[in-house]
Amino acid sequence: MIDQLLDALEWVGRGLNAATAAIDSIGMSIALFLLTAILAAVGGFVNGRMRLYGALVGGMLVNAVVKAMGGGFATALAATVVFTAAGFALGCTPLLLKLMRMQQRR
Amino acid sequence: MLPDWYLRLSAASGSSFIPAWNNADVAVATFAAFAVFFVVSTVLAADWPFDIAFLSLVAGGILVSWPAMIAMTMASVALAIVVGGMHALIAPQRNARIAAEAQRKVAPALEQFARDAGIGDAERRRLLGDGDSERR
Repeated sequence: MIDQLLDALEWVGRGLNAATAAIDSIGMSIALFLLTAILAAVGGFVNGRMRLYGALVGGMLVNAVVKAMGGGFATALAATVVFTAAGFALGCTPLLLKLMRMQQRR
Repeated sequence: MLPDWYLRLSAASGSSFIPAWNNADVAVATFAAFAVFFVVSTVLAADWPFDIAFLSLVAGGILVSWPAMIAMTMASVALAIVVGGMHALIAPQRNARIAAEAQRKVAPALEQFARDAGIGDAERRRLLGDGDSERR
């Protein structure tokens, strides 16, 4: 069981590595991640399920970008899984508030 | 059984994540599933068919290439607009009730968010409305 989990984690790690190589821009990766988190936070205004759906929409955008940049299906899937999970985890109201305050300070 | 133009389109669309299926085949199957369950969710006003419709779109998106993903998403958005418009025309009262219910669900969270973001009362009323239109 633990071996299978480690294998899955290794697959996700390799996929994410290939995905960041395909996107080839740390700025764009961060922008996509923030977009995923914002979509999750906006969905979170309705309920937890919509927060997951918001994160999934962001993850699918990442999927499309990775494929468009030349990544394979498996690479795009691994990136989707990671970005969706991270976006769902971080996609909460305090993040939106922090982003708005940063914007206001500028 | 399938028309020639579709077979040509399917062959030209390339192989999907499932090697036996081309991108066009997966996109058409996904869109058909989305259309059926989206219409069912609108008719029944239930959540579970919408969940299936949305997740089928996600699954289809993972399996196809990015141009097919974009085509599929645009077709689904167009269908959602048409079905939503027809629903508003055929059953306006039911549509208004569902919209008011959604507004009621979201309003407290948005109010709290606006308050935390330091948006003043007047600005908050301007952005979110004061709820009078829903009550009327």
